[in-house]
Amino acid sequence: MKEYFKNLALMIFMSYTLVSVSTAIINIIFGGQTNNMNELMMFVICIIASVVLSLHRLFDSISPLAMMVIQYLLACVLIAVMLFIVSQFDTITIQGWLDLYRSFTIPYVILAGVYYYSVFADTKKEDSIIKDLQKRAG
Amino acid sequence: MMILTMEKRYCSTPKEIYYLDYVDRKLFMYTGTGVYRIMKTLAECEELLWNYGFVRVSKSNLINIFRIKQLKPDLNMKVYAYFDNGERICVNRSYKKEFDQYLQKMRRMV
Repeated sequence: MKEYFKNLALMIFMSYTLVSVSTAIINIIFGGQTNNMNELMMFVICIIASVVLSLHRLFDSISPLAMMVIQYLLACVLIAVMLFIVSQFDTITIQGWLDLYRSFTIPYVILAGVYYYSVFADTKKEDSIIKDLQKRAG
Repeated sequence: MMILTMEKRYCSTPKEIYYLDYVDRKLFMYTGTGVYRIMKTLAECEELLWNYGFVRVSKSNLINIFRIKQLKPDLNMKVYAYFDNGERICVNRSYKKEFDQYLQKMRRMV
């Protein structure tokens, strides 16, 4: 359990650092701006994404593709809860909701695509190692 | 290697075994000549056979890498080991790291 929380904390801080630095670079290049609320929301989204992704061991018996879809839907629900809480203190328009989901979905789909490709690439590599071992063993 | 089965003593070399499957608290050995129940635990077989190309790929399966025809992922990203007798066994994601390490270890040994 201790190990789980340690890894989770590491994942949260690493992902937030990456997202924060990327946002800063993009803002410098395109002249955008951010504010404290945005930073906090980015941090909370990093926590949500890290927690949801760390639950992958619960989905061992189902296919990775189904797991990715379920995790995405779970993350969407948690983000909706977060937005609902924020909307009690600040106004969020429908466009705001859509923009946030788009900002979350695009990186998720890209990372899922990268993971999908890595499964195929890893398996191909393992297959060639096995064939090599079989050849060497005669 | 002498394997004690329910029916009789069965003499087998590890090369003949495709995989071992633990089902309903019984351990079965799948070979080219048939399926035999063996009177050992999966953990005991894993220890006995690790040197012969056998690796754990799930809670209930031990497979012989020298009998794998092809390792291939499905479209839903589950990885299967296909054997030359037409059967396939799923390589569980939780065992992937140990599976990779085992292949690297065998590569250095063979």
